[in-house]
Amino acid sequence: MSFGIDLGTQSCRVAVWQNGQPVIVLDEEGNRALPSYVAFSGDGRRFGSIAKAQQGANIENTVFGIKGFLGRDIRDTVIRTRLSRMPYRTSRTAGAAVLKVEFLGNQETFVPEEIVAMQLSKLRRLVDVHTGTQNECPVIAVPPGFSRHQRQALIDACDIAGLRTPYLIDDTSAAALYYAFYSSPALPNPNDPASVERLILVLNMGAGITSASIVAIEQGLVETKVASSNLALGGDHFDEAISKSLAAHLKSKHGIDVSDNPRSQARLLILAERARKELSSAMKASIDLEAISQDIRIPPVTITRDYLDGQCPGIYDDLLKLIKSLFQRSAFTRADIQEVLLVGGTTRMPGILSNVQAYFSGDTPICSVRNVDEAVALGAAIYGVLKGHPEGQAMPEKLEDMLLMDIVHDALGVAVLAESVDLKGPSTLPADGGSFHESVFEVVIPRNTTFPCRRRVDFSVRNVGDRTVNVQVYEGDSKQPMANAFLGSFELHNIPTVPAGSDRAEVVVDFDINSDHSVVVSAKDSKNRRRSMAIRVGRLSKIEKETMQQKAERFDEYDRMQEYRLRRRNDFEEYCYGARESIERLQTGVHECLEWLQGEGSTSVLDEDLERREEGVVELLRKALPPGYFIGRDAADCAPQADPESHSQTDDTPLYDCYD
Amino acid sequence: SLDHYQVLSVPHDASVQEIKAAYHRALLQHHPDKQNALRGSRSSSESIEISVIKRAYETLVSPEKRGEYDVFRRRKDRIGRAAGPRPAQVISLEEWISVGSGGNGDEEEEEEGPWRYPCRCSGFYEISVSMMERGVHLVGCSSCSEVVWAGYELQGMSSFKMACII
Repeated sequence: MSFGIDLGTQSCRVAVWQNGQPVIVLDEEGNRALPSYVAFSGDGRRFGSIAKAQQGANIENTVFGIKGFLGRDIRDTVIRTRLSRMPYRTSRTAGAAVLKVEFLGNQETFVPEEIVAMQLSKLRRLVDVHTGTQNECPVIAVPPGFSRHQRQALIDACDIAGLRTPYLIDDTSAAALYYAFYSSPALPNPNDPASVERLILVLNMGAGITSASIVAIEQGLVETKVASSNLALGGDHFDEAISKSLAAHLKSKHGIDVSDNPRSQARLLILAERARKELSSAMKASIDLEAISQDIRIPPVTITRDYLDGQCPGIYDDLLKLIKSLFQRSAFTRADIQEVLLVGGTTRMPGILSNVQAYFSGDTPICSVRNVDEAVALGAAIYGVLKGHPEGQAMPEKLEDMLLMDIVHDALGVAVLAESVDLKGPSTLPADGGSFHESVFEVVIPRNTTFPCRRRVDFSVRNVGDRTVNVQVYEGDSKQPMANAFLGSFELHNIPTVPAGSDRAEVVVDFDINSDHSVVVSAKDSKNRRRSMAIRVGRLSKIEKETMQQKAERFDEYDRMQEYRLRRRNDFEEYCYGARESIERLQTGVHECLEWLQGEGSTSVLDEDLERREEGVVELLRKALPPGYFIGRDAADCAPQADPESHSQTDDTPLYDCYD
Repeated sequence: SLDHYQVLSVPHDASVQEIKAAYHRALLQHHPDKQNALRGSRSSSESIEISVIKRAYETLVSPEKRGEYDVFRRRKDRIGRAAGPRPAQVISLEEWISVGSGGNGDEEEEEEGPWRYPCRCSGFYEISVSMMERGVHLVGCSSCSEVVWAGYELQGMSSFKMACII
């Protein structure tokens, strides 16, 4: 079975398909969302709300906000600053972030993929418990702007967690898919506005990443038209702004400097987050600063919505810029949007809502804003059924006509020689070992192309002497190949000239993206000799992943043992309390009967009374004994029910007890 | 190969609504995500690529593109009926190389032709001014039996490419 995961920077949600619809799986405490926190300690790992709650006491070993580091290059200054601000200990190796924690008494290091793998295993366990079956095919929602490297990091995390055939879906597309699922009628009806094509704008603003896309929905057909993400925009920015101003307040009013105290900084951040969430429903929020210092009594601070908006005006600008970029990159205008779908925790903030409303209401009369927080996870669960439906089984009726057509977000192309681009005819591929300085990026598959798709482009060969080309594949927007993400390269040798003996040689390059979003690039010469390359970009080698998988399994096993022990202990405790209560009741009952018997003479006893009392004691005894024991009052009743004649079995039947 | 109307299995006078419905139907029939065992056995017919379906839909749903395509399609039909040989390739006249008496470097003179285009057999195709004036578009190779279609009309219609003609 597959399950859908909305893996957020701040919290995760997980959903499964059940009884003809997707449902959210609750965690052990009954929460519908699991905070993206993993805490390490001397006696095991904690996840979700438990991990978050103990953060203050275990600040260095509580890891959170990992999504932003997944598949990112640590040489990126933005990433490096963000990492250095985290209260847990970090370092780097080979361009990637490494987290250092104390776990089970040892110093352990983990890469972001391993932390995410732990979260995925945890979510998977929740689903397994919920469904009572083994579930190993996750559908994970990712921001549309996630690069191929980030996507691969997530798939690597699935490998480490032992999850098979993971699918990735864009979070805004997942939300639209769920929206189409619950709002679309089964049959087209020209009078019903829900059955004709609608263009909606999905805005997903989480704690760390914000994405937007324009999606056309017509009955079950969900077509993403254009999408864009800002990987550095989210509710966290509000929290940081609040905590910064709190730190300034502490310094000026109380003389407390928290700038070199990561513990206090982390506390301020938690307080700031709580206050921001409070402001979504209340007009003002009070922040209790007592925990910051033991020595001085600090009175609480009250902040208002206006104050919050005033702290970070740039966030609203960035948000509108993201929405505008969708219109710039497509033929749509603001007036075409019939509905705006707001998803993600941060969109609960009144400031976000009013800014989006102000932007659209100018020329969009029909613009209802719905807030569906869980749509991403639910949509991912639907996608799991659409993609990985077991063969030979009928598709659930409501999903039979549903189809999601997603898009490629970054342009894919090859490096060609700069000198050949302005000339008429096909561009020239660099020869073996071509210099980067003289090449430019030529797009083969433009961004926002629907997949599955196939594109074929002709290229010429530099000169006859070379007879070799180097097909270098990149992903990105820049004209400069080196500024884009390198995805791989391969060479084609001994390219024949056409016609033979002339100085013309051509190579045809094919880009093929299948419905699972994986890319195969192939090149062939005029004699149909072909070489191809499947794009794979992982940072981790297979051996590294296997080692990590073994490590993860060991920790999972440890957790399972702990969980098992805890459960057994709790079960036994409950059993003992239950047993004590029944025995006490039995004692009281027996005592009452004995007293009654003493009061009654042997002749005055009535048969009915005796029977009733006897029944009562038997009932109490039955409750005190474990289920399965049989209680009888005479030899006939003591006989096993299956074979009442055979008294010889009486002695050696263990599930058997009687009193006379 | 199929033309856009065949891809969507709609008549040439189909309305926009019909084309939309046909597009939806074609996607559900041919999309790899919909090829599970149950459907797979039912639609044993050959699968059409999604990008082909999408291109057909985008062309036919837009009135301008559809008009342009219809003109193009009718002309192609005429070629198909009038001349026996099917052209192996469509080559815009832009790509032909003048082999005329352009010795003095004068641009005007160079346009006199005749023009040549290399054939893959190492021979060449040649077209002259008089041929163009007579409206001849199909040109045979000098050494093999292949025929190509030459003309200016293809400019601006490159999106339909030769795939539609051949």
